[in-house]
Amino acid sequence: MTGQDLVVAEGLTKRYDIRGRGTLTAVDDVDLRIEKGTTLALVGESGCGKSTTGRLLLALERLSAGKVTIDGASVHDLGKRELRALRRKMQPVFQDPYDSINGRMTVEQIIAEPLRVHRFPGDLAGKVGELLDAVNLASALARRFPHELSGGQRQRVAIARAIALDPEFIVCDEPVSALDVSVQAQVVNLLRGLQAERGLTYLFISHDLALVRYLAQRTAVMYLGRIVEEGPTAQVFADPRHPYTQLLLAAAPRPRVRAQDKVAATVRSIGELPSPLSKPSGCAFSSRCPLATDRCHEETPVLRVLEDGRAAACHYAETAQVGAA
Amino acid sequence: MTEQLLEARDLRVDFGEGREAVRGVDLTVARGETVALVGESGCGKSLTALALMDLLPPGAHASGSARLGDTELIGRDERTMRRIRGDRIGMIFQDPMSALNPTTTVGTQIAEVLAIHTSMGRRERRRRALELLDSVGIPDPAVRAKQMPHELSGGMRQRVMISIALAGSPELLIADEPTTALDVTVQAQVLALLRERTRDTALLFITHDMGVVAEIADRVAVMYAGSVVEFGPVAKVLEAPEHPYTAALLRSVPDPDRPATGDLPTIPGQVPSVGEQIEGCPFQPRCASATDECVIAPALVTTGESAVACWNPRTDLLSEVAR
Repeated sequence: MTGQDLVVAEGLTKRYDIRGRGTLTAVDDVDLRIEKGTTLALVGESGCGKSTTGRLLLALERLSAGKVTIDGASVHDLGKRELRALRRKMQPVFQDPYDSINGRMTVEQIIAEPLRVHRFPGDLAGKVGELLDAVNLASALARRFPHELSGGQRQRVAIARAIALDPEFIVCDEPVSALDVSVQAQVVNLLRGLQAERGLTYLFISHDLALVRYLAQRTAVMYLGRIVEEGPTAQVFADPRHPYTQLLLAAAPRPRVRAQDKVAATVRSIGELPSPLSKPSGCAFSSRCPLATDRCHEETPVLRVLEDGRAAACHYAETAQVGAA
Repeated sequence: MTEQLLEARDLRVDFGEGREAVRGVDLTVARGETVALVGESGCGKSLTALALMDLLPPGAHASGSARLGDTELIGRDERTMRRIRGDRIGMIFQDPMSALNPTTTVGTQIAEVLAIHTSMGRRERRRRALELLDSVGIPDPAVRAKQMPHELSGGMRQRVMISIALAGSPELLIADEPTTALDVTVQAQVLALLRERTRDTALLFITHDMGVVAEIADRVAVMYAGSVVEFGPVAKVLEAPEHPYTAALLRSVPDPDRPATGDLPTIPGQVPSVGEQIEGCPFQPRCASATDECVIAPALVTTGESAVACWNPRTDLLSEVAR
């Protein structure tokens, strides 16, 4: 029962020239597919390239190489006017709504702005009311300014604005990371509800693995610009095949006291991320991987599909088990 | 009964005109113990920590009592407090960049702290600074000591902060969200380091993250709207919370080990704002177990090892509650 892919990225690459220090490849030959009406989570630690990937999908940054198609349209090859028309279909929601909304506008004006820009033909005030309702914000808040709202309310405003033009695809970049857990849960539930009602397709960028489990049908794990593992969320969580995914999962804090296992102990010995300007040769994770062999330091593993249908970029994906033995 | 090193009684912080942010905190930390102070934004956990160190922002005023051994910390003069900070209380904050001097090498900064708090000579301070860097797991201490804070990663900077906080061998370490800005693998490393380096030092660890609480704490105090609503051994509070707020907060935390089914549980309503008049139990308007008694504010009542401020404390295990 496979549906149609709304978002397809092939060979997505973004390089930055850092003056005097060489080239930083923030996103390195990334392939992604997101089925219509589903969520793909993109997880990884800071600097792994997950946010840049999201910006590339929305054509908020230029590609160095590769191709992005959304609903069949090649996003980076469109003219200005066509791209503008396509922007109705794809919207971002960022971590800090302060970055993306004008603090001098009222809630009403913020939500109405994209409708005005795209010459919404109907009853503007009525539409804004509907949108406030859709994100569970009291209509009394319409005349307020962003600084008068709580963090959770501001994020609801950002979501209302993002869905104003009935988009098909939303890139959510750490949308709840700045919120308290009880508020986080409300916003996550809202995003799930909107998806069910409107058939939205999400790329959900997050460093929080626990949250991803509630939201995403599929999960992709990034490390130093590359996807190291991708598959159905349940599979990736139940039996991660890439050593990095295994360590990342073990490192995620749980709200309960647990026995110290070997994987958690290994996390403490793997040190920190190498500079993206001087990635290790071979597998990028080889410098921290407790299972690395000579082959890993020489030969870069490709992202290959395993028997169970998920993909992993590890020479030993079938057997890799950090903390075993 | 272990000796309590820190004992706060009815600690309050107000911003004038009766606008209270911390509304009577009772808290103890024993020698060598780690107590986590956990709560959501605006609950007063950071202000509680700042009040203990006499580092409140302008306009904020502390009252009540907090004793460190035989020394009262509240209402002391600046000179005395400056002596106590560093000598007897070490501090670690969320953003080490705000606490480190950006124009001085980290080695020199550690040596400066040693000059203030010990009688070591210059050469000995240099040597000790390298030892301290090594003790917090910084590779090539001699090289790192000559670097500026901005040349280090966030995790390394936090390690430097820990070495500085421990340089004066304080009795109590206060850490305010020290790992919040770090990636999970680095967070796990810094938490392990803190655990190891504070075996003999009392640690008051401020956090919003129940997962971090589980990793670091011996006991946990849960704050809501300016007061401690539950205080007990970490396993007890996380597995069998007695206060309905603790239970609701724990249920709203997503768990990477649980398959996702349905929506995440939420807490209806909103936290009262700072200075808002609170009648009765502060959680009552949002509480599913509220009864008529709740119009009267419940006191934090200790039974055995645990304390809870609730008229209708829960008696079940959290895992038995439908999620």
